[in-house]
Amino acid sequence: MFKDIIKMSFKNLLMNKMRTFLTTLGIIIGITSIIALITIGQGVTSSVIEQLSGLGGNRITVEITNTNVRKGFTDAEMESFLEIDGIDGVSPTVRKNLVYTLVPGETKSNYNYVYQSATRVMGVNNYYFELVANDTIQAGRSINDDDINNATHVCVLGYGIWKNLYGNYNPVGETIKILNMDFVIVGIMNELVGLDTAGNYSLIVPYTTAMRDLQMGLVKTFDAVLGDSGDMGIVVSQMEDRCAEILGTTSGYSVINQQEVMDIVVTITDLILGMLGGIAAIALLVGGIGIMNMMLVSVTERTMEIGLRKALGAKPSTILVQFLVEAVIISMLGGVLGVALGATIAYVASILIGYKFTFQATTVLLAVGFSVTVGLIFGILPARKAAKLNPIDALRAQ
Amino acid sequence: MFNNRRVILSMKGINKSYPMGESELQVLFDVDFKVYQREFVAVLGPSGSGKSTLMNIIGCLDVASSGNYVLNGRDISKLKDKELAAVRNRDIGFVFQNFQLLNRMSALDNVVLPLIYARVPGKERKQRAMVLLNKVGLGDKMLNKPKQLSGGQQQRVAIARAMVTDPSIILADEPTGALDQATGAQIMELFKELNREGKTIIMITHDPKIARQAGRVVHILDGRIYTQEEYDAKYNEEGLVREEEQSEITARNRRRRLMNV
Repeated sequence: MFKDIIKMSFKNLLMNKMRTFLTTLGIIIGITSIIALITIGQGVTSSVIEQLSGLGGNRITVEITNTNVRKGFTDAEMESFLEIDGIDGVSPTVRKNLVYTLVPGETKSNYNYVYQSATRVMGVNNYYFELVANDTIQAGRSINDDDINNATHVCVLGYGIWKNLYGNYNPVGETIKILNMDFVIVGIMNELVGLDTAGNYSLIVPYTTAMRDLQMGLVKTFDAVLGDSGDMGIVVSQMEDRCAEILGTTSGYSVINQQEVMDIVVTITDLILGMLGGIAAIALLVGGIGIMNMMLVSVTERTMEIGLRKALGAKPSTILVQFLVEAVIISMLGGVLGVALGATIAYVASILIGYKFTFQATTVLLAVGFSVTVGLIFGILPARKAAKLNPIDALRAQ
Repeated sequence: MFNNRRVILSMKGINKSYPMGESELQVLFDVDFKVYQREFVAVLGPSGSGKSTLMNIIGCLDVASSGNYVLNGRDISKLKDKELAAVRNRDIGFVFQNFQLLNRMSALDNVVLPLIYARVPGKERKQRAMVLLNKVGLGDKMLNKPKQLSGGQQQRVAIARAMVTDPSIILADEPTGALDQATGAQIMELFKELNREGKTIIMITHDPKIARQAGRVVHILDGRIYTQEEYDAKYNEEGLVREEEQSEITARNRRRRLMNV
């Protein structure tokens, strides 16, 4: 009999296609926004976290915030942080735009004449490659500890600058001039995607070489990498002490636990998602009221039919179920269409914004479950009204 | 004359009153009513006589305020809503004055409807409905919507629907009320034929000409029920108290007055 009720409900709803569609629209809008928001939110959050946590939540960023106190740390000062128990390494980045030269004979570039230009030069160590490139490399090798200790004149080409200068040719082992000093090309990076893509158009050299030979200045900011044995709280406070010691002041610098940054990002995105979710819930509420309204009209219109059905033997519960099923069909229809539409919007957004599109089955279940619940909640009042109708009065209605 | 037949419907001391503000309006007074199996009974009464209320109680659409109602061997007086629904479904076939067909369904689907509530399987439902539509002469119009049928044809569909659950009684409320003379006569013929085949039919009407075609006529007036004999003795054709009785009353009064003097 339940099958028959569903069939009847579909027939009834198809009788008023326009009205059914317009009623469904409220739910479609609600579910669409919920799906789109959840999917976009999850995608963006996971992309941001993935990039922030390149080395996990075990990084502590030291930054000179007031350059009047000091322009930065020297390499020796920075390396003194390694003495703190629990710190495995430091990962500095110094940047400066410098002139470089390609000389035919020394390297086989796209240019058959002496080519001179300027680009960003980055002084880093091996942690940089771990963080931005997941320790992978297109060709050759990355900067290693020997390069740092000996301040060797080696350089790794960013993916973009390599393409511009060499096309697909592999120049590893050849020489490029930076500020008229010879640097041996030891590797080519993979193309970087995500938050930190500065390396794509950079020449990457050991930070010791950058600071001493290329005069690229002091280290304004660097990350310390916490070892497995280190306690975050203790290490952070020791690092603050060290900063105060070096700089001779207790202000003008910051020591930030990356995990905190990540937590803040998550908190903020959760907050925004929550607010948007609230708006979507209001849309759903309005949609639900729309369903209730339409079902009440439907009950009034079909009073005689309800009376007749009761006279022919329909129990109050049967009538209740029939009207409830109609409400749920409308809301479920809205839910399914909303999921499709919301996923499409999220997919398009993922292409436009450039985050990873992930779609979870739980989201669909959640949305459809939500819409069915809305249908049940807002359908119960009209359905009860129908079920309670007195057959004599109902049959007499015109 | 029907004593050797089974009683299918038996009412004893049925009263029905409706609350009217502070007081109550009594519509049925101490109604005793019996219908035997295979009978064709007409309940005849003018509007306001309480015949609709009686029909609603017979049809289990309403319950009596007091009294006893046994239908097909079952005491109906104390059943709940959902049990009454089952009784309506199984034991009563309704035929209404204005047909009461669902316009968006085909004739066939209209006839099938009571069987859905009786939880008859889909295939059997269709077969049974088709048999009955053929019986009422609409075998070629099963898939028509009610709007595509004439009034007489619509009432035939309604009769098929009333018959489809094979109920104990067919309860017809002014079945010819919305039809012209000729069509009404055809519908009456159909009822008589069904009765000859063994159906118990109770017909409510205000029209003496229609009522006379039934096997037995029961009168209802001002909420009280009378057999034909009782009614004839008390009322004339217009439903007014007979003159002989009137004059008897006046004669008695005159005598009383004389004695007092």
